[in-house]
Amino acid sequence: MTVRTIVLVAIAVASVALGISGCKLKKNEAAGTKTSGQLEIFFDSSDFNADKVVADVWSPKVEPFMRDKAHPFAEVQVALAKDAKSAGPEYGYSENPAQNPYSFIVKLDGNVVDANTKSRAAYIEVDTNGDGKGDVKVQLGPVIRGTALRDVLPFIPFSAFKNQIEYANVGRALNAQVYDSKLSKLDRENLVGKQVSVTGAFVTPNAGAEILITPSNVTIAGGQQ
Amino acid sequence: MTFLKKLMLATATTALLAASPVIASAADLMAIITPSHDNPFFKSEAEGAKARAEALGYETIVLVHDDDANKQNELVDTAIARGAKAIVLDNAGSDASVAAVQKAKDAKIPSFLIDREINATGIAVSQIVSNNYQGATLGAEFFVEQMGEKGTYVELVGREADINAGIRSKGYHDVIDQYPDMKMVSRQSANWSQTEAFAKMQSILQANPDIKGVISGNDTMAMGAWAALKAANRTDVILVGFDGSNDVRDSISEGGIKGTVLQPAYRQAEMAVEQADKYIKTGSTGQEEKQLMDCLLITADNSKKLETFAMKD
Repeated sequence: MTVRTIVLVAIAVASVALGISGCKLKKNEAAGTKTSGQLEIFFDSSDFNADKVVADVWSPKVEPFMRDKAHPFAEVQVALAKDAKSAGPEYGYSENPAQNPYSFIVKLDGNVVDANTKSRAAYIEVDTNGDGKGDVKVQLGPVIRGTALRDVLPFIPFSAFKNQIEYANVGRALNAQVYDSKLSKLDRENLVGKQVSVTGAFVTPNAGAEILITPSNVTIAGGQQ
Repeated sequence: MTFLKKLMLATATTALLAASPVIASAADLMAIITPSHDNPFFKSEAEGAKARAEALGYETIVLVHDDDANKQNELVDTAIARGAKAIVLDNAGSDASVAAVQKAKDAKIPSFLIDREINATGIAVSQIVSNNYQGATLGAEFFVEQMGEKGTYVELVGREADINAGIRSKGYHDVIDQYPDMKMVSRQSANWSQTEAFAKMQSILQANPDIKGVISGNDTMAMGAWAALKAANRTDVILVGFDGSNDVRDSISEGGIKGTVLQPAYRQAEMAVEQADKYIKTGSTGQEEKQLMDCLLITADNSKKLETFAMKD
């Protein structure tokens, strides 16, 4: 039995033990497109369906986990600014801290002070402390950068998958899930000035770079959500 | 030193070693096997592994398989015959290398893989690889930004048997294909090679004289493509590579190539040696077998800190 099978079985057993149904990590139909241009996209395993994996864990596991584990954004931001080394283990998660930066689950309320919805990688900038200046960017998609939502979930470790492609597909499927189920339904007009509530994840930014949150949920006052 | 003196010394050393088995077996041997050092990336990882192994008191043999699975097989035989205590390997193909790593394991020699995964677990002790997918999405996001989210572009893909060629290409497309105004006009493999990329880029330019961007699966191909673009007076073309070589760094600093993605090759090789050392001494690395190291986007903003596949603080 491979390590991967053991981990998948362990996840399945844990899910059953927790009384969670619908977490079926099994083989499924082909994942879709295999070619682009003249060359094959290699190693895109056809028997692995990341969308199905994510669809099965999203409501029963991911959403409650994000809700329950979220720290207030301001608290994490202050801790990171003060001492990034100790903020990681205290507030965040990393599958392997020697090789991957820490990721954080946060929640925030604030006022939208800027919105770029022209780019396909759309985002809003939110003022969380009332000084009128943006404190953090929140991605709205459809193009969502990075894999913060995946990286912050301890029950979706790299070691559970056969290779980087499968793991990458899960990250992408998580982003697609949040876009399809939440972000695509938001009203994107006249966002500036509106009150928002966000739960989401971010990866420790590189030195000098800004924090970019990938939401698992966004609520806009007066909006649809 | 004269030739005769050298010969005498060598003879004397050989005699001494033969007469004293304690000295001969004093240092354990670590075998370091990578693709050709013509690519500075592989040279850097071989050097990183060698330096760390020697600092930890090992003797090393550094071997090159030239991406030939048969040659790799012979080199693993050599490592086994020489009684290596561990093999640090950047392999010659993720399917073709499974048998070679298994053979080492059967001979009780643990393997520590760097840079490229094999499509099997439980055979190597560690597989420490760069998160090529994450790196590729960083490069692609930057590329799309530089392109203003629209325009025609070309993709140069690496060697098809190399899993990283596929992973990077997928990472590129997973980002770029989300922008309907980005149009790929040509996608060709240049086998990681600078000369091949030069030739391919020249013919692509003839067929598509008005391309706006080129995204390349590695830096050696990016250098080849850049030479062709320069020769055609097309230094306005937006070019992004992958690896973080000093050549591309210099081009970025001069305002040529726009960006690349650094793989921490040197540190990765050191880490593999450290895990091998721990495994030899304690029977465990204390780590999962498969380990991913994140990559870093290099642009004009931070290129000056890049040196031999590592960032200076």
